[in-house]
Amino acid sequence: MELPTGFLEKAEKREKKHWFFPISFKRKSTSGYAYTNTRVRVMKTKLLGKNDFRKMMNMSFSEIARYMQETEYSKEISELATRYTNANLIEYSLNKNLENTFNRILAFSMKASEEQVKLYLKKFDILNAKTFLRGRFSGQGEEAIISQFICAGSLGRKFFENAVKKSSNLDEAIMQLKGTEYFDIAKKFNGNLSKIEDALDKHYYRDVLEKAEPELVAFLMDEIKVKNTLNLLRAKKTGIKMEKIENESETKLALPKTDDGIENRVFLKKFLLERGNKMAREFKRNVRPVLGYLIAKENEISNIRIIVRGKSSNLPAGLIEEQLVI
Amino acid sequence: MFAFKSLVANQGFATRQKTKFFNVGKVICLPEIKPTRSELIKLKKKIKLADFGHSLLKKKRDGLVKEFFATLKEAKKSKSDLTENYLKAKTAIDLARAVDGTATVRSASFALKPKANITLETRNVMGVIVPKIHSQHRVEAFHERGYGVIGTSGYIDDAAESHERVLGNIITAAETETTLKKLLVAIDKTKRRVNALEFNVIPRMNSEAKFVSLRLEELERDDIFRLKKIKQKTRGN
Repeated sequence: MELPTGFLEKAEKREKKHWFFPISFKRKSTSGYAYTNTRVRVMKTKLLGKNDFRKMMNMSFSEIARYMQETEYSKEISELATRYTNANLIEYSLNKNLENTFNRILAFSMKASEEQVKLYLKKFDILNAKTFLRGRFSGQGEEAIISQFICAGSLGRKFFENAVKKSSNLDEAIMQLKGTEYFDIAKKFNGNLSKIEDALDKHYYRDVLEKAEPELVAFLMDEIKVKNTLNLLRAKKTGIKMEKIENESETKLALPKTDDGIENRVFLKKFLLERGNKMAREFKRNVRPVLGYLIAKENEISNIRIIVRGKSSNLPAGLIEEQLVI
Repeated sequence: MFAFKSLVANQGFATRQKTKFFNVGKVICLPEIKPTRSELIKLKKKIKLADFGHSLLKKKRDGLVKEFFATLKEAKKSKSDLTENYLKAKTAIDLARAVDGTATVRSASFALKPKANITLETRNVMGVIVPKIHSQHRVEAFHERGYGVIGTSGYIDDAAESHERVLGNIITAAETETTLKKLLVAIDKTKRRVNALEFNVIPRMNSEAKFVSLRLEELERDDIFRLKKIKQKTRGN
């Protein structure tokens, strides 16, 4: 049976008061993977299956909205129903659910597994930091910036909300990052936003590759390979000569087509997500099952979003189906 | 402006001219004009000027119509380009929102610099001032847009690129459609002037000139008749 959200934190507090509370089982594992992976495996059973997506593909937008109320997302949908409508409601609910689920995993994972999960989820901190800097760069309103955050990383929602409230331009926004590992990186580029963004992304990969276990490193290497291939295709489309990079065999992946078309993008996305889905099915005492779950969950949310957004904006059914990784 | 006075229908010349002037029931209106030689000379000068103006305005109207049709072609093309590119841009942004998520797409949009630098000039088409919009707007390469390369995708590039194209189309469409509207107003105005000259001012002045010359001839005949009568009387005495 799965423990409710925040149960462990509350239990820990209670444990201090009442020594007899049976929470000590959490501390017996050396790496924490046995416990974390078992809990994640239970959570995995609640993920939507192939049939659910096929069913959703044959539904109209309103039917999908009703169907979503019967799934794991109903809590978030009810929570956000007063703020958003239609496809926006479902999409923001999906983001909120992703945030809640990942925070829950962070809360119950421990020792090595906690560290690895934290490392992987750092990408949300980077994404939020970029959104925050971008928003302040173009002078967006507080609400517009805050509503785009998906706070599933180590830096909480409070941190980013305070940072948004206390800054009004890019320089002030960079100052708000003081105390985090991103401050020095952001400060280095004299307000050149695209360079700051790229430096933050590179920092994420370098940092994670340095600290992560081999299983997570292997997955991230694949992710880097995919990103490099995609960026090469983007550069090729624009007409930028990148012979030096192109010749490096490391960055090369066998693609179905040579241009930056949707076929290649979908192929690379499927390449990465299928690896994640495969990992989620494994029974090992390492980071792979939990990492697999994180990827599978992201993929589930991505699939639902593609169907919902595609249906609400009347995209051709073939195009929607092409984008799904089931 | 011409003021009109009323004359009774069965009075001499007015009866003969009744078809050329306003005919309200039995009352005919004639222009308030003095049948003098100087008035005739003035009228003839005015007619000459009006004829010259009329031919000039006709040429202007024809020129404007020609320019209008040329601009219409451009406007049709820019409108269809705009519609086509807008639909493509909408599909691209919908797809980007579906695949990458609204949060990612909106976040990337925050990083874009406001770049549509527009300068407005004017162009003279047959005396009609039409706008000429210069823009330094161009479709940017994906690494020059302002957002980072690593954290964004090709879907966002497509959405940004297609919207940049739409922006270019909007500028062109704004220029051609404003020109078209201004030309239409100018054509309408010129057409009304040509028609007014052709069917109202010139015919009225012609008939006035005719009226004055006929009156002068009649006065001449009166004078000759009077002179003859005086001569007869003086011979009889």
